[in-house]
Amino acid sequence: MSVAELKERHMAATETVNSLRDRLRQQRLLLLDTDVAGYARSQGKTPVTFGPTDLVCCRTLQGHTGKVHSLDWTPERNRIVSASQDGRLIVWNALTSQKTHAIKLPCAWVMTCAFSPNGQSVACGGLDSMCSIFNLNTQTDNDGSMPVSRMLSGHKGYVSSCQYVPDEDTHLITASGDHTCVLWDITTGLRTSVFGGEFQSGHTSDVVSVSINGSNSRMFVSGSCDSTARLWDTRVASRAVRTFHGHEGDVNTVKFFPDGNRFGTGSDDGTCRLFDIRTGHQLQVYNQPHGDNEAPHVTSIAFSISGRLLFAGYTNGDCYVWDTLLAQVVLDLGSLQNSHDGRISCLGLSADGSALCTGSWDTNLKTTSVDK
Amino acid sequence: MAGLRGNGSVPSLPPPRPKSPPQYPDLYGKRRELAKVQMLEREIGFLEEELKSIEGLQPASRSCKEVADFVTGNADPLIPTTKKIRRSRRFLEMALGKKTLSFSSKIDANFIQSLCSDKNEKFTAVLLKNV
Repeated sequence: MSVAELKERHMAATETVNSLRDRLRQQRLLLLDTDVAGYARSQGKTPVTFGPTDLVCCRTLQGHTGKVHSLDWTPERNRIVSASQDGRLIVWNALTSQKTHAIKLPCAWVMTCAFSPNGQSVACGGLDSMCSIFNLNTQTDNDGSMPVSRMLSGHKGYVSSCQYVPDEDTHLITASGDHTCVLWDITTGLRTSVFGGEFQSGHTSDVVSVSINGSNSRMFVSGSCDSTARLWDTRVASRAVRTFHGHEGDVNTVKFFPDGNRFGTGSDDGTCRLFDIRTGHQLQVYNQPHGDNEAPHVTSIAFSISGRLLFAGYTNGDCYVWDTLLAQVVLDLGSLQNSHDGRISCLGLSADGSALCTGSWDTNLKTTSVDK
Repeated sequence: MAGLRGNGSVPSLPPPRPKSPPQYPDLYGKRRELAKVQMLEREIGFLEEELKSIEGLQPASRSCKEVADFVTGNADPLIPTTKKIRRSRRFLEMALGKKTLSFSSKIDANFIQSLCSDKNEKFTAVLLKNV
């Protein structure tokens, strides 16, 4: 077959794909008889209300000298690891604000960090295209350098996001600018599975976020600059279980809903969305109208432990608290006293759901909880 | 361009003459194009599978109910508990009648809070039953 014939076949296949996607969209619309807010209103639900001093910033974690890009809580004990443009990982005691570790990284361009389930190690990755593992029991030098206990190399692009598989200190999943996600065996440093890639079915652009299902750790979702989120089964790397369309811009952040059957997304199109993993339905759009101004992009999201609240950080410094059932903004943490002075780049909930930590381009982290 | 001139002992090299690319076909580009087509055709298969699976799929309302049931069935430390006090005041208001409202408004907030605690649920039920 000649190149010209191949190009024709390519065009025909592209048309067929687009037409099938349209048909799928139409068919799905017929099944969208309501959204979560419509259902909740029909049941007489009223929005969560917060008084002006109900949620307060209880700690400001100061120490980074550059933008904070990523944070993660330990699964137990209230410690947080953060990664910053200053080229350091800092481990904090969230209750006392003390720094227990300040690790100077071999590559300063770090984008993501994660705590291991046992809290003994941290992982980070960034523009060096590698994921580095540090054992926190190792001593640091005077300048804060710590030997890397394991280097996970193999990605052909930056590492944007990483998460340890829950209850497994020896496996983690990374997302990358090379359009793939990878499941790693930390013991050997080898890739167990590669999800997507040049000659496999998967994302067609940079993958910038990953979230593993807390109820079934074989399932994870990824968010990409191709405007889709994809659900994967770690046992089947050859194709995604499902692709979720709907966003009109990069999907910057994905997070599983606490029941494990839904997940949330946040995008450059300014919206957050809730998708159902079993049916593929888009159950809710969380969109705050901004008039003629371009909507700020969503950088990060987290659900409260019951799923009733969706916290969303935006590029303009807002941090909206959405009532997930009524799809209403019930509080803007960005407007509270003592809030961040810059974009909120990352956020995460403590394991017991009692505190939210936000990280910002203003170099600080802040923890917020209910004022008792 | 002047040719290279060596010194007297080293013969000068002939000037470079760039050659046209060879005439053989661009196999790498063809393989890449074929791979792209194969991926698209694979995607067509996945989409057709998905279209079939949509038949008989439950409507979104069922999933929305699951979300609502899960959310309302779980406690949340980030949702303020004072809401409980406000709800209990309204409940007391309804149960004890409006005249009692002025009385209940004098009731110490701690007393209301104690009515709300789990240990005092039975006490509250008994109180309301006897009104």
